[in-house]
Amino acid sequence: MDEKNMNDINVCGNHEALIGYLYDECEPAEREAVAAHVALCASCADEIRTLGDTRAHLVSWATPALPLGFQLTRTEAEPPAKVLEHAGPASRRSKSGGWWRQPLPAWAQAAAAVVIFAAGMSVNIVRLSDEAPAAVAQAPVPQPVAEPARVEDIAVTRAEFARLAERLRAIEHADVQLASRTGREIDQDELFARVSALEQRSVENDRRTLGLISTVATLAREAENQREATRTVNAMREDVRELGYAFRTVAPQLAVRTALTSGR
Amino acid sequence: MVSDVTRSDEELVTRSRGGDVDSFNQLILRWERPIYALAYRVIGREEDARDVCQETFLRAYRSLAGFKGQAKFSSWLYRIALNLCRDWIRRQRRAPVSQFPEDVDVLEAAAATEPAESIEDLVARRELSAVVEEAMTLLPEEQRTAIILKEYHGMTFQEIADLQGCPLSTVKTRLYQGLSVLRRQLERQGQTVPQMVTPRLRSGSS
Repeated sequence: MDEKNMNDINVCGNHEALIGYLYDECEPAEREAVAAHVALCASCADEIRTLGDTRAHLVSWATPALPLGFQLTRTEAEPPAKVLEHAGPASRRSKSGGWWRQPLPAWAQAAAAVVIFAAGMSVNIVRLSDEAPAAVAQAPVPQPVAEPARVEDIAVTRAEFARLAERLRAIEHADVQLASRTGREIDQDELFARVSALEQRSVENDRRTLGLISTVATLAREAENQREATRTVNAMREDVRELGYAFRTVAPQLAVRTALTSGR
Repeated sequence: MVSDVTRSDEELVTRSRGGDVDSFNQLILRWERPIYALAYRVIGREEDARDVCQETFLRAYRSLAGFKGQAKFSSWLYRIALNLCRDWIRRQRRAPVSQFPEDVDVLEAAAATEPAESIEDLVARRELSAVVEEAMTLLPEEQRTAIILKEYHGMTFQEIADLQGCPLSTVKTRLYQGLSVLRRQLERQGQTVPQMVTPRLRSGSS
C-alpha cells in the first residue's frame, strides 16, 4: 500500500515520468515504478495508451520523395594574370572563346573580371537532380533594356554576371562529379535523370547567356549613345563659350561705334 | 583499401578538412535525406526545405575548421539545419503551409474505384498524413521540433536538449504537451481519419 501511494505521488500528473516511460528512455527503477503504477491506475494507463496512439499516427506523415543528389563543387581561383586578360583591351583579346571574350564596354569587362575572380575562390553545393540549384533557379532571366543605361542597371548586370559565372563553373564541375559518381554504383535511372537534368540546365544556361549578351549589347549601345550625347553637349558648350568670348570682344567695339555714330 | 562508403562520419570529416571533396560528398549522400526531412517537417515547404538542406551542407563545409568533434557530426549538422529553419521561420513570420490539397475527397475518389485493400490503404495513409501534417502546424515551434527530432530522427532526450539549448525536463514537457495537443487535434478530425488505419497503426511500431 505504501509503495502504491509512493507511485501515485511520483507518477500521477508527472508528465516527465510518463514521457520517459512512453519512449522507454528512463532508468530501470523508474520504469518499474511507472509500470507498476500504470497497472493499477486506469487514468495513467489511459494517458499512456492515447499518447501511444498519437505517436502511432505520426508514422503516417511522409516527406516528399524528391530527388536531392546534392554535390559539393569547389573551383580553383584563376591566376590574376589570366583574370586581367579578361579585362584587357579588345584589340588584345582572342577572337575565339566564350562570351566574355567578345567586345564589351570597359566597365563590363572589369565587372566580369572581378566576378570571375571572386567566383573562382568559392565553393558551392549543386543538386544533380531534375532541377537547377536553388540559387540558380531563383536567378532572374536578363531582360532586354529599353531605357538608357543607369547605375541601377549596371548593378543588376553585375549580379547577373556573378550568377552566370558561378553557374557555368557549377555545370562544368557537375560533369566531372557525375563522371566520378558513376564509379560508385549509381542506378541507371538515377544516372539518366541526372544527365537529363544537366542537359536541361545546359539549355537553360545557353538561353540565359543569350539573354545576358543581349542585355550587355543593349547597355553598350546605350552607353555609346550617352557618350555621343555628352560629346554633342560639350561641343555646344564650347560653341557657347566661343560665342561668349566673341560677344565680349565685339561688344565694346560696337559700343564705341555706336557712340561715334550718335556723336556725328 | 577503405572506401568512403564504409568510413565513419568522423573519418570523412577529417578527410574533408584536408580538402577531400569526395569525402564531404559522401557525408552529403549519407545525410541529405534526413536533413531534408527535418527541414521539410519543420518549415513545411518542399522547395524551401531543399534550399535549407543545400545551405546546411554549404555552411557545414565552410565551418569544418570550427568543428572540433566534441559532438557527433550529425548533431552538428542538425544544429546548423535547425538554425536555418528558425531563420526561415522568422523571415516568413507565418506558420508552415500544408501542401496537401484540402479540397480533394480522397476517400470518395477511392470509393469510385474498384475495391482493393492496397489502394484504400494508400489513400487512407495519404489522408492521415495530411491530417497529421496539418495538426503539427498548430504546435508551437519548440514543441513541433522536439516531436520531429524524437519521432522521425530517433534522438534521445539529451540530444534534443542539446540541440534546442534547454534542460532535459523541458524537452519532456514539450513532448508531452505537443503530443497532448496532437491527440486532441486528431480526435477532433476523427471523422476524416480512416478508422481502418487506426487499429493497424496502433499495433505498429513508431
